[in-house]
Formats: sequence, structure tokens, C-alpha cells
Amino acid sequence: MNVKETVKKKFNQKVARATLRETTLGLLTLPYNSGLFKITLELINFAELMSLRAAMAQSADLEANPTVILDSFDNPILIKDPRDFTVKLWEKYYEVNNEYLDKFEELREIRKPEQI
Amino acid sequence: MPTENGVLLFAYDNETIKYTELAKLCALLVRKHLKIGVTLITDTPIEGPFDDVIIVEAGNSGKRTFRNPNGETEELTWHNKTRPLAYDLSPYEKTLLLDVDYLMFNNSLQWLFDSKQELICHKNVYDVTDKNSFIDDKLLHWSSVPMLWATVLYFTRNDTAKEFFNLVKLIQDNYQYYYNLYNFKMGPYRNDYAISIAYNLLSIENYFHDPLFTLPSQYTISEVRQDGTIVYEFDGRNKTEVSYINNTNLHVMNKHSILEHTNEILRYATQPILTRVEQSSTGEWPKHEES
Repeated sequence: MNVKETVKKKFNQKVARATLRETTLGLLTLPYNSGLFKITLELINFAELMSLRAAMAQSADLEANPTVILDSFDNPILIKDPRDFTVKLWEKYYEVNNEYLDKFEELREIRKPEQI
Repeated sequence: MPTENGVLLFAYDNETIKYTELAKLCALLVRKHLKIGVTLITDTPIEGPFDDVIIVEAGNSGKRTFRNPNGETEELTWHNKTRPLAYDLSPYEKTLLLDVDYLMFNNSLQWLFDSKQELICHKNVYDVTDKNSFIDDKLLHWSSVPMLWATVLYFTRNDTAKEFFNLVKLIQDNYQYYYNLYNFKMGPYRNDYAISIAYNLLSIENYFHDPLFTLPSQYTISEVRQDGTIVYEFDGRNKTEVSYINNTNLHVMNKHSILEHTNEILRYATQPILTRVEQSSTGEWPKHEES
């Protein structure tokens, strides 16, 4: 590539940011017990509450009612182990969003195509 | 006896595009990320990273105009008429039917094989140049049904999928009739249109939630890196602009551009995957290790 061609190229940070955001949103999902869940703050909250109820029932030597949650395709999915489900939601949430932060910070530093 | 899971590809070379070479790259990427078998449907015996190659004649093919990055167009033979046979030809119980210009850079489709999905495809497309190039492809016609994308189509061997593909064949055989009925853009037979109509007739509403990330045909890949980053170029206001996408499955419509980067894709496809060995629920950074 000659100098003229290099100078003519510009890194479009806006496009890169938009793409990064879209790809991250796509990754915020959790396949669980044949269902696919979109990880939202609301779902994490509900899962935490479900885990808490299960723990309370266990401490009173009772059995918590099995909980059914609709996945992102509206299929009813039975959550047998609320703690396991909640931990997996958190794991995926941290994994995806930490990576997003990492890549976002990297992206902020890029100004020219050769810095990619 | 069908085997459990696999990917099905269709590839017929034309005057200038070696679709079978694209199929080899696509198969290697699938093997790397999904670790399942790949069957190729083509018209000539071929060696490659496939479990099986099924020979099926391309049949009566149409012509399609392809747009190149230099602004020129080329009219080439478009062999796409065997695709409706996917259900009959697939040796798998659960089949992921992919276009060979769909480059896989992660395992985000793995969940399909553990799910109860019967039939699913993309309704939304995301132009990675942020130019919204596919704004006219949201509907078959402004008063008609949503346009779906046949690029990634998953189906399970059951009555729903069987009926769906029978309907796609019927639409293909009576394309002019359905053109009049649905008012879509006339041209050579297009699988995207046929599956959109079949979905509509069967009242199926099952789509991937994330969009089909696509690099339009007039733009090019400038580099494929070993960390799964694709750097691409597109037209800006006065300059050529550059951006990138990382570890994301990408539908690259410019087939020539994929073939120009064959060696880089091969190198990426044959290197081991970087996997996370520790997933933390405490917010710590995940550690990476070579598998």
C-alpha cells in the first residue's frame, strides 16, 4: 500500500462502537435446560429472589416449589436448581460485560487504522 | 439412520466464484467452533474437511447481478435451486444449514443443538458498516410479509420442518404465482423470499434474537487476524473508512474478498481455540488458556 492510499483511510470509531455494542448484546444470553435466556437485570434479580426462597425453604426443612420461567422464545423452562441458574447467569453477565469494558477501553485508544 | 447433529452446506462454482473453496473455509470454521460434522452438497466430487460430500446436479440455474467494490457489476450464474432439498438430503437429526459466505468466529450457535427449537432463522440483519444498507430488505414488499434470511437456518427432523421444506419446494416450482401474490422484487429465484413466504404460510414466528451481522457486497475485508478480528473497509464521505469486528460470526457478501483472505482464514481456523478456564461470579477478569 502506498502513502497516498494510507492517508486516504480513516478509522471510523463510531461504527466500531456500534458494532461492538450490538455484538455484546447478542452475547448476553444463557442456554439453560434446553431454553435460551436473555440476560437482563430483571432476570438476575428474579433469579436471586428464587435462590433466596429455595434457601429459606431448605433451612426450614421444606421443599421449595419448582419454578418455571419463560425463556426468550416464551418456552416454559423448569428451573430445578435456582442457585445453579443464578450463578450461571452471573458468570455469563460478568464474562460478557467485563470483556465489553475491556474492548471498549481498547477502542477508545484507536484513532487510526494502523492502531487496530 | 441419521446421525445427531451437523452442518449442511451447498456449494456450486460459477464462472468466477469458487463456492466450493468458500465451503472448505466455512467447514473448517464450523469444525473449530462447533466441533460437529459437515456435509457438502455439490455437483462434482471434491476433497475437503467434510464428513460427506453428496453429489446433486445444480439443475436449472438463474443469473444474478453481483456488485463489486469497484462499483462494477457482474452477471453470474447463481446455483441456488437445490437448497429446498435440504430436508431430504440432510443426514442429520438436527441440521444447521449455512451459506458458505457465513464465517463462524464463535460458538454462539452451539445452544441450538441442545435446545427444543424446530425451525429458526434470522429476521433482522445488522450492517456492520452502520450504513443500514438493508433497509429495503425488511419486508418482501411494503404491504407484505417480513423478509427472512436463509443464511443461517436450523431445523430438526420432524413434521414441521418437513412441511416447511415441502412448501419451499412448492413456492420454488410456482415462483411466478407467489411473486404476483406477495409482490416481491422480481428476479431469479431467491431462497430468502421462499422461506419468508413459507414461514408466513405456516404462521411460524421463531427467529434468532440477535441480528445477522453482515458486510454488504460492495465492501471488502482488509485483514483477518488470528485473534478472530476482521478488519474491513467501506466508503466514507471523502475517504475509505476502516472498522473491525471481533469474535463474531459474520456474513460476508463479497465472496471474492473472502477468497482473497483464504490463507489468513485457514491459519485462524487451524489454530487452537483460546478458552476461558475460569468464569468468575465475583467480577474478576476471566483468565485465558490455550486448549
